Amino acid sequence: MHQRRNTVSGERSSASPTGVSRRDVLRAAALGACALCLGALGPGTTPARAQSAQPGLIGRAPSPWFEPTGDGRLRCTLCPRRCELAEGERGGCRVREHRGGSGHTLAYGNPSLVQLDPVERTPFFHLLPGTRALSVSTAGCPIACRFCEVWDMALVAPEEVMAYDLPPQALVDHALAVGATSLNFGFGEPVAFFEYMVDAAALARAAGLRVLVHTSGYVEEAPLATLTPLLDGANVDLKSFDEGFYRDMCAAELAPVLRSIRSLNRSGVHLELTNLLIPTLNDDPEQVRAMCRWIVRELGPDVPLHLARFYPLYQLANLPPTPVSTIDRARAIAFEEGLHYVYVARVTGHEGENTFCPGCGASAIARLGFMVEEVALDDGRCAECGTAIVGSWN
Amino acid sequence: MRRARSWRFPDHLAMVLMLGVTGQVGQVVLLRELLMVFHGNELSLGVILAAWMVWVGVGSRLGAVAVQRWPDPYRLLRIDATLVALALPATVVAIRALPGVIDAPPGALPSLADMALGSLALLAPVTMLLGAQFVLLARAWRELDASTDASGAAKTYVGEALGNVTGGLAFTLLLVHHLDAVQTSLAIGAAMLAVALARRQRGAALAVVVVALVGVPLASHLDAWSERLQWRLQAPRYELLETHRSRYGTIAVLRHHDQIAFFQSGHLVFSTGGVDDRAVAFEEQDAVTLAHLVLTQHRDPRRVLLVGGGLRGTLREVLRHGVERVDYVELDPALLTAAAPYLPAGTGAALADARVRVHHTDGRLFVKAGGDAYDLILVDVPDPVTAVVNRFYTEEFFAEASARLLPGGVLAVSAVSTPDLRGAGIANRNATLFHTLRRVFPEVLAIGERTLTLIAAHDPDQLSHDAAVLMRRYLERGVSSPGFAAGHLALLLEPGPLERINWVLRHHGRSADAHLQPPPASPLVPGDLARQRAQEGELASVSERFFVNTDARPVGYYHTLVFWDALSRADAAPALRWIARVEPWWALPPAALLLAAAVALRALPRTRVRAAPRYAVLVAVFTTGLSTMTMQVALLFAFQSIYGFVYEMVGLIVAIFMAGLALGATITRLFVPDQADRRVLAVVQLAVALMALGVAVALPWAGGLASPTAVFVAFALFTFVSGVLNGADFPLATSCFLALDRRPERSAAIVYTVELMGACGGAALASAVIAPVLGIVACCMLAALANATAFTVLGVGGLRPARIDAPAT
Repeated sequence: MHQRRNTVSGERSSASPTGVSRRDVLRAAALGACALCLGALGPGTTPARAQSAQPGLIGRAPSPWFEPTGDGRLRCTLCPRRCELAEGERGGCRVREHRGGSGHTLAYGNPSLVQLDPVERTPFFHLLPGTRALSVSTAGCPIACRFCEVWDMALVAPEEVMAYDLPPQALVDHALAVGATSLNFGFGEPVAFFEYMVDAAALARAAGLRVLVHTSGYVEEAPLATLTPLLDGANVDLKSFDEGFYRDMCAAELAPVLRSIRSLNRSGVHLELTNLLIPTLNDDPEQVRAMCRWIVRELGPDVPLHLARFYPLYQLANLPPTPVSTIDRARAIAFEEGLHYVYVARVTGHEGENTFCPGCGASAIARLGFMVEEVALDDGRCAECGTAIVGSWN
Repeated sequence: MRRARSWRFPDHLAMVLMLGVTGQVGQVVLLRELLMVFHGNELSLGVILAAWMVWVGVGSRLGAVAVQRWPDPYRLLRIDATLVALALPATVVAIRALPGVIDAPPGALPSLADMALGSLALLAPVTMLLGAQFVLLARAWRELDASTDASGAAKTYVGEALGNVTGGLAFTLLLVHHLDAVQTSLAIGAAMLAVALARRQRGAALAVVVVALVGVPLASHLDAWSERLQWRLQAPRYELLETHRSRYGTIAVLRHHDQIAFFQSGHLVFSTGGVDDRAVAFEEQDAVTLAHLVLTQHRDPRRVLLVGGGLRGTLREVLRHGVERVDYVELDPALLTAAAPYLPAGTGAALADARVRVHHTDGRLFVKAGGDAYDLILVDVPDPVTAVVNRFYTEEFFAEASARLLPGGVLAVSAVSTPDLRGAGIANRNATLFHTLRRVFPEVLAIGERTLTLIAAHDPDQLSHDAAVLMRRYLERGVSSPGFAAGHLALLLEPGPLERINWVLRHHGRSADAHLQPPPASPLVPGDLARQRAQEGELASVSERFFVNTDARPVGYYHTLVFWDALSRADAAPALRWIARVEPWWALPPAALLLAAAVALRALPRTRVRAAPRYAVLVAVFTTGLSTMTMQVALLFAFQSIYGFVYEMVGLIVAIFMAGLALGATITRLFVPDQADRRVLAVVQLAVALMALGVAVALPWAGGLASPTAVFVAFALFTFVSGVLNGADFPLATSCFLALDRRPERSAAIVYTVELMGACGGAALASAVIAPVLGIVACCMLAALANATAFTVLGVGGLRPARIDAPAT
């Protein structure tokens, strides 16, 4: 773990108000070079068949998360949609199918997204800062957000996109080959490729990789219980604290998401939450306050909360970005309600990208976007006052 | 047969002119209002115009039925004009209430079904009334002339065309500057009513004028209320601060907390806000990042051309790099006026900076006009959602920009994107931009996920994707930008996303059907950019037809339409994909079918006498409507690309067409002794076909003209001739049809409707299918084929002139 002891205050260069100095230039360049070297490791060790993506690759595998309805149909029990499928029908997620009398997933070993990123980008701020995670995702999603950032992968069927032939073992091999510390199921919706995720997670744990998931949390209790023991960290998108928003903007429900968050927290998995603030749709201060109160009450004040800025995209392409002042206000509310770690996402250079010690307020980790600039921790404790900072640092 | 001339010329002619004026102004006003709701692109324009033409056609048929039943056309006209006067402003208000009915959240694009249903439902009353008025006026004119022929319709046709020209000029030069939409529609409606009443009820006409004089100023309250209603429905919890009238589209200024957002024609243009410099920089981070990313690509940028984007922060950031001069081109001065009170202090200071020269002109025209050369040209305009904006992404524009670059110069453009480009529409569009740039610049570097920035240069060593190099330049220039740091550049140039996006763009579009396939994904380890570049020679060549965007074949906006379909979930993807498969020979089967039907009708004894020639005349009418509109689209597209988008000039081209139309109809009336002679109609079809062929040959030549005056004269000539032939066609066709049908108003209505249908089909075909996929020259070829077919069909149907019987009523 690259933990360094640094003093925090007064280090920023006066040349740039955001404090990036010439030293940062060298550090960033080194980071880039490092990534290049890691990337170059890949070709020799990754299975050759996975090197190139194939159009419309289907990863069909039987799924245990189906039950008969008694009238010839099958009910999918993976997510709260609980789709009932006649023979040949496919679920709303576009990747689960009733075929030949049994239920199948079509998203097994055929990821469309395989990329190595800083773990901060996945986004985990309290797990192994500065390390790299291999992120994986397939086509399909059980919900349909109008502001989905990866709509051209998540909201389409596997036939419509290119995918890599990467069964679980090959995926883990690739992660090791490119020097990843963690395997992250995210960027798309991992519930869509649940069976693949579970099998790959088991292999990854056995191979010494950390297993992370970034999810909507729209999953039933039983499947989540099978996944939880395999996880080191989970970041759940709490898209709003309003049922109407979930219904109108995501074609989903809030209650199952809250249930998943509670369940993950109870199980001891490191938990972080992300809340995308969309102007006028879910940025009401009272709603934000209610959400933060719920987090503190149900999960405790140490759960990191990422407040992300919305930019016009997908179906909301004509909505202006979130005013930064709205995010600042939401952050202030979160602190008022007692949360210890509240971050601002997608406003690069904002001080809310940094981790501040809840004990003394000193900067414990300084970041620029997903780039770690300074770590001022001493064995997981604030270098200034010794307060324990929640997370996994080694 | 013309006899009595006992009518008072000004009264009736004024009514005909007012029909043209009201039609033109009403169309522009309602079109602008609908575009505010639909966030317009070429498809929404097509949908609105199609709905307009369909209802005008239906209205003209209803008008013919009404005048058969109630034979006093002036009484019907007064009723019609009263209803128009009420319906026009009511329609403006109804359109503004439309977002309350459309099932779309704030900021969401309405679906194609919403647009079609909304347009059809809301435009129906006004357009049907206007369509009916055409027939009523034609009937009235015929009665005034005590004539039994189709001259009433022909004269009305000419008068309406002249009214269209007048209305267009009045709107552009006068109304848009002084009256809002409700006031304009009320004033125009009242004027039409007053003119209709003036003939027999002068007191009532005067009362209407008085009411209008009092009511129009007061109507501003209704306009303001309905605008607030619209934005309350369209963007709840945003506060509408003000609106500005611009001939390029209404500008709305909205506030949410301390953020100010600017919309034009319903499109989000930019947003700004914050209370201090740092907050502003965060608020405008997209523009700030774009500026520094591009400026650091040049070793020593001294002279910069910025096309668009200055108000959103780009201009302010460009000046931080110690440049000597910035030419900033912003088409619409009204945007600057609207933004001025709300601009951050830094942007205001940048606009007043002695190094900055602001030019209110078309960016394409500015670049083409020549003059100073630049180290860097940054094109910060919207995505190519329309043919007009697409002109900034074509090979010709890139070549023109290249000619304005100093040695070592850099050109940058940007467009909306998605991480790794997995969707076909967006991948096709952005790969097209990449390959088009590559046709002009050997070096193109693609950067970004949510927004793709394409940076191009001639010098292989000019561009760098090495973050350290760019960061060093940034720091050495002593740039200090609140909210931005050199480290941002490292984030933007992170190797993983950078290598993947360049790999996808470089490899996509290299087979004949690449645009129909899922875009390729990079290998798990795509390799660094130098290696990708070195291996490019092994790749197949780029499919020019679908991956090179040119003025003559603006495929960029077709791809953007497909992307829009994915965003709006309009479910038009199958139809749009079908468009991409269109081949030139597809025009032959419909032409053959038309011919076969003519032969069949001619062969059957029961249909050979009346049905065969009637069919032939209607085919001629339909094809002339179709080819005229197709040619108009082709000429306007080509003119805007070659000359530049200058509102007055484009308006003038349209006015020249209308003038040609009026002249053509007048010449026919005066100099053709027997207008029911189908041989003359056939000659006109042949002339249209030959002219279309001539334009097809001449367009590439016109593109090579260096002098803007020569370009204008050439296009004015093409347009005028097209107008003359189209104008000649209508009275001939009406007379030919009347000779076979014997009912003048019914004949006029049928011919008018069929011509509108042809025009509607031509507009849709040309702008959404032929121009982007097959090219502008193909539009002319289609027009030539259509009228050649009509010529042949007329020949098959029989060319002997028919005797005009007395009208049935």
